[in-house]
Amino acid sequence: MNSRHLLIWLACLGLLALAPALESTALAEEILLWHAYRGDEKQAIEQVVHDYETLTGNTVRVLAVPDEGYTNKLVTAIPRGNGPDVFIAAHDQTGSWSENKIISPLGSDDLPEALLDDFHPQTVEALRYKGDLYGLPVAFKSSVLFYNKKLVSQPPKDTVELMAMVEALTNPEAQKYGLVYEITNLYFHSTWLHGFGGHIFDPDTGAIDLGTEENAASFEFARRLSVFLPHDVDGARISKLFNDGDAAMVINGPWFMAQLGEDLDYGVAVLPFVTESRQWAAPFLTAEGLFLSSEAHNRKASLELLTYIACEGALTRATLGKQMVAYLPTYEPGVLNDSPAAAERRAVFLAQLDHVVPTSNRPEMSSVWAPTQQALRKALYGAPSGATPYWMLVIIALLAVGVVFMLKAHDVRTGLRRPSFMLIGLLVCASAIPVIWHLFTIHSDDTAVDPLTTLREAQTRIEVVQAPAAIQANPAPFVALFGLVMLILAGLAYRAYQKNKKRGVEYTDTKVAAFYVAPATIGMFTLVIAPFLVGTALSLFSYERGEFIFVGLQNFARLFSGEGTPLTDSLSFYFTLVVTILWTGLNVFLHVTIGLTLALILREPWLKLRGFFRVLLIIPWAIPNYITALIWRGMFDYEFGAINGILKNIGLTPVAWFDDFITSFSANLITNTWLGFPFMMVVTLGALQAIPRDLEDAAAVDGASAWQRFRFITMPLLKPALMPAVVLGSVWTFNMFNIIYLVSQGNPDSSTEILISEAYKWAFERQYQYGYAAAYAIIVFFILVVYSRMTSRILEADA
Amino acid sequence: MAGLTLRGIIKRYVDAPSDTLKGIDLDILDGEFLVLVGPSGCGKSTLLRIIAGLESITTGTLSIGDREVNKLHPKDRDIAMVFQSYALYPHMSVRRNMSFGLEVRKTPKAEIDKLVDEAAKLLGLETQLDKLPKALSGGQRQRVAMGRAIVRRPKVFLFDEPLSNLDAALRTQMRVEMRRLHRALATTTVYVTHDQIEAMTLADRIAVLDQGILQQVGTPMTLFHAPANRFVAGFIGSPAMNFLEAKVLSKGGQFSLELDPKSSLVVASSVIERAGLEANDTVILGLRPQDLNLGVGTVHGLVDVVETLGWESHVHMKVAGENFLAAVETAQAHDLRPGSAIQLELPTAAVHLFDPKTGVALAHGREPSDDDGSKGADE
Repeated sequence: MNSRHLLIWLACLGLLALAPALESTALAEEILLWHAYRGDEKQAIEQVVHDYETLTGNTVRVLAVPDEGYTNKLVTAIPRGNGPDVFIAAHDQTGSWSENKIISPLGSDDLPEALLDDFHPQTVEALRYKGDLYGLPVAFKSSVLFYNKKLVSQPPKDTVELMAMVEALTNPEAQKYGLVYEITNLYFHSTWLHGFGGHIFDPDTGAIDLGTEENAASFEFARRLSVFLPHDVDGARISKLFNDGDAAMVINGPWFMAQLGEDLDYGVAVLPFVTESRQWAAPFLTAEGLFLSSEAHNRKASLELLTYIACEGALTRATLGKQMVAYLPTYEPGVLNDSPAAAERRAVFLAQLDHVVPTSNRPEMSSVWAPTQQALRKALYGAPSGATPYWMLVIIALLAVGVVFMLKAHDVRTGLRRPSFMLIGLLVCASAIPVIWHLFTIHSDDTAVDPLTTLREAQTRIEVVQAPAAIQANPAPFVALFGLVMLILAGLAYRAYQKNKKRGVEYTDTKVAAFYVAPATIGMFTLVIAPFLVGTALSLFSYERGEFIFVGLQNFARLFSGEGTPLTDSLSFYFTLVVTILWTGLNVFLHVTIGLTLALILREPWLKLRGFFRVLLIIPWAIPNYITALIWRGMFDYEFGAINGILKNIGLTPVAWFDDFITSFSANLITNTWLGFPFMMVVTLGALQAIPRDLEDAAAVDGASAWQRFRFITMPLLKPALMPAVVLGSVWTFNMFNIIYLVSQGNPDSSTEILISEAYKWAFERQYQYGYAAAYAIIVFFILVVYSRMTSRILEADA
Repeated sequence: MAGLTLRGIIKRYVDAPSDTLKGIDLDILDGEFLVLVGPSGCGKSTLLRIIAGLESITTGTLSIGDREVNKLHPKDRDIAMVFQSYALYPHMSVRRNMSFGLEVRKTPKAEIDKLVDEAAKLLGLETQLDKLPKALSGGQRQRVAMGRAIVRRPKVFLFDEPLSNLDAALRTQMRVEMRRLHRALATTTVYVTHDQIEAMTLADRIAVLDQGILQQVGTPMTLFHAPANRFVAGFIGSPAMNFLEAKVLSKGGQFSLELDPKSSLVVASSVIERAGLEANDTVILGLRPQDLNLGVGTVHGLVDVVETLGWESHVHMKVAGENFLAAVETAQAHDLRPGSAIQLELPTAAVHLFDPKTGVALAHGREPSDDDGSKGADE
C-alpha cells in the first residue's frame, strides 16, 4: 500500500519535471514577444502582431509582462532559455544587456542600412552601444512643457519668461503653482542640466563627469525654481494638481496626456530656451527599442517580426496606441488622421526631438541616478549631518545605562538597596542632555549646500559605488575549509550516534522514520539550507558582465573598510549598522512599551467594550504591511499629507519629513511602531492571563504602589513570555525591508537605509553587485545569530 | 489594633443585574476572630475584598478603628490578607515573600530580618527561607502566606478560605494552629470560609451570609441552638437539620404538630405561644439529626439507607413522604433494614419552628440562654 502510494507520487513528480521540457518542444516554432505595455499601447501591439501573423502565417506569442521588475525578468529569463525572442524595452539598459549578453547586435546582414534612415537619428543613436546597433526604435518619449490654456495664454519662450510666470502664478497658501514637476528627479532635471550646457559623461573620455560649472549652474537654476514649487510631489499628485487647475505648467512626458481629463483645455510646448547659456533646454530622450534576444530561436523570423513592428506597424501604433513612433514616414502629410489638437501636440513632441539628449545607455548610468538626485536634493534643501545617528546612539545608550542603574538601585529579589546606583543613574541620564543639545545645534546647521560641492560629492560616491575590479582568488582554501567543516559535522553526528548506541538507544524502523522525516528534510533543505549555502557561496563571488568571479573574502574586506568613506557617510557599512541598531532598538522599545501599556489597560476591569478595543488594536497587524507603509508614506507627504495638514491646522509649520535624517527616520519609526505594537500587545495579553490577579492584589495589600506592583511582580513574571517575543520582534525589525523601502525610501541621501535595504540596493540598484549584497546578508545573519544566542543566554541565566 | 465597622455596605458590579451585597451592617470587635460563612456566590469573598480595599464600595461606609477607609488604597489600610491561592510571589524566595511588604514600606533592613526570622520561627519555616515557593508543599506554602501576613503586624488579618486547598488531615492541623496563632497575636481577624466546621471551630463569632444579605451574626453555639432562620439552621451543623412541614393541632389546650395523618408530636404550649401560632396554622418543623431517638414514639418513618460511620450511623428514611436523616449511635441502628418501618421520638426541647413563607425562626424548643448577640441581623 505504502509503496504503491509512493510510486504514484513519484510518477506525479516526474511528470511535473517533464512538463517544461514538453512545453518548450511544442512551442519551438513560435516567436515569443515580450512587452510591458498596458491599455491602448497593448491593444495596438497585439493588433500589429495579429496583422503580421495574417500576412506571414507565422505564429507569434505575445506576453505582456508587468512593468515592475521587467528588466530583472529579462536578465534572469534569457540566459536560462525561458526568455523572449524579441522584446520591447527602453533603450537605457542597452549597454548593460550587451555586456551581459542578453541581446544580440543587428549586423549589416540582418537589416538593410537604408532602413535606418527612416527612423529619427536620435532614436537610432540611443540604441547603439560601443558602435553596434542593438535594436530598432519603436517609439520615443521626452519631456515637454504642458500648460493650462486658461492660466497661460502663451507658453514661456525662455527661462527668464518662465521664471517670471512661475513667480506670478504661484500662491502656495492657495495651493496654486505656476510650475510643477519632480524637481529632484534627474530625469526631469536633465532638461536644465543639458540646457545649461552640462553633461553626465565627459563626451571625450566617456567617464562620469558631474562636477562641472555647467551642471552646478543647472542646480542653481533648480534651486531658484524650487522656491515656487511644491515639495516632494509624485506623478499622481502632479496630474491631480494639473487636472484641478492648480498647476499652470507641468514638465512631463507624453504618458501624462493619458492622465488628463477629456475636457481639460491644455497645450504642449517645446521646453524653453535657456537665456543664461544661450542654449535650448534639452530633456532626456528615451527610445523604446525592439531588441533581439541573444537566445532567439529563429533569428530570421524574429528579425522579420522586429522590422514589421517597427516599420509597417508604426501607423497602427501611432493611431490605436497613441504612440510617438520613431518611424518617420508615419509623419508624412496625409498619413495620420489626427484631430487638430492631437496633430498640434504631435508636432510639438517632434519639434522637441531637436532638443533632446538620449539617456546614456552605458551600464554605469544606473549608478548615476541616485547620487545625482541626492546631490540635487542637497543643493535645493540642504544636507543633514552624517553624525546624527551616532549622536542618537550615544543619547540612547546613556539613557538606557542610566535607567538600568536606577532600576538596579533596589533589587527586590535580593532585597539589595544601593542608593548610590540611583545617583549614578541620574547622573548618567543627565549627561545625555548636553549631547541632545549638541544634536539640535548641528541639526539646525543644515542649509542648502553649494551645488558644485554636492556634485563633486556625488561624483565620488558614484566612483565608490562602482564595483572594484575583481581579483580572481584561489578557491582551494575555501573548498578545503568547507570540506573540513563537513567532515567535522559528520564526525560529530557519528559520535552522537555511537554515544546513543552505547547508552542503549536502539535504531529500529529507521526506514519508516526516514520516510516520515523526508518531507520536512526536503523542505528545510530546499527552503533554508540550500539558499543559505548559495548565499554564503555568492558572498565569495563578484558578478561582472554576466560572469561570476571567485574573489574570496574581498567583498567582506570592502564592506568592513566602509567603502573607504568616512563613518559619517551613509554609504559606509558602519553608518548603516548604527542606523540599523537605532532602528531596531527604538522600534522594539516602542513596540514593547506601547503593547505592554495597552495590554495592561485592556485588562482593567473598568474598561468597557474591551472586545471591541482588542479587535481595533489588532487591526494594524492584520493589514498587509506594505499597504500600511504606503498609507503612512502618503500621510507624511509634505504638501498634501494628513500629518502636515494637522500641523498646519494647529498653527505649526509643516515638516519636510524626508529631508532630514531625524524626521525621515522618525517617519519610518512611527510607521513600524504602528505595525509592531499589536504583536507585543497580544503576547502580553496572553502572558498576563497566566499571572493570577491574586498576586497583584497580594502586593497591593502588602503595601506596594502601582509602579512597585508592576516593577516587582508583574514585570518579572511577564519576562519569560515577553523575552522570546522581544527577540523575535528584534529580528523582524532588523530585517524590516518594506517600511524603509516604501516610506522613507532611504531618504535623505540613503541615510535611513538599514542593512537589509542597503543589501537590496547593492544587488539591484547599483549594477547588480550580487556578491557584495550577499556579503551584507551574511553579516546580517551573523549579527542576528549572535544577538539571539546572547539574549537566550541571558534568559537562561535569569530563569 | 482596631475593630471594624461596616455600615450599609452595598456592592454592585458594573453590568451585574443585581447587587452582590445588599446592605451589610456589621461590627467586628477589636481582637475578635470573626468568620464569614456562606455558600458559594453569597458575597462573602466580595465583602472581604471590600474590607481589604481590593473592591470599591458602591454605597455605605467602612471604618477600621475610628477611621473611615472607603477611599483608602489597600496599601494604606494596614491590613494583611491571606489568599485562597496563597498568592505567593513565584519568583521570590520564602524570605523575600515575607519581607516584600516590609521592604516596600521602607522598614530598616535589620528590623526586616528580625521580624521575618521571628515569623519563620513561629510558623516552623526556619529551614525553608531560601527556597522558592514551588519547592514547598501545600502546607508550607500556606504557612508562608500566613507568615507574610503576620510579619507586618497589621491592624486586621483577612483570610480568604485559606485552608480549602489542603487535604483533610492538614486542614485539621492548620485549624488548630490558626487558633493558636490568634491567641498569641490577638489581632482582629476576618476569616472567610464556606466550611461550617471551620466556622464553628475557629470563630469567636460567625456571620452567615446568603445572597448578599447577612442572615445572622452570633457565637457558634447561638447559631447552632438558635438559628435566626431556616437558612442558618440548615447551614450550620452537620449533618444538616431536617425540615418537615407540619400543621398545628390543638386538643384541649394541648398543642401537637401533625406531620401526616399517622404521625404527630406533642409540643409544649409555651413553644407554640412563643411562636405566635394558632390551631390549623402551617409551620416548618426543624430537627437536628442528632436530637432524635429511634424505636419508640409518635412519628412513623420508613428506613431507606443506613450509613455506618463508626460509632455513629446515619439513618436515611422517609417521614411524611419527605427525606429525613437521623444520626444515632451505631448500636441503635444495628438491626435496621431498608424498607422496615420505624418509630421516632422527637423531643420538644429539640424542636425549631420556622415560618413556612419567610423561613424566619418562630421559636426554638430550647430557649437561648443569656448568651449574647443571638438576634438575627436583618429582622
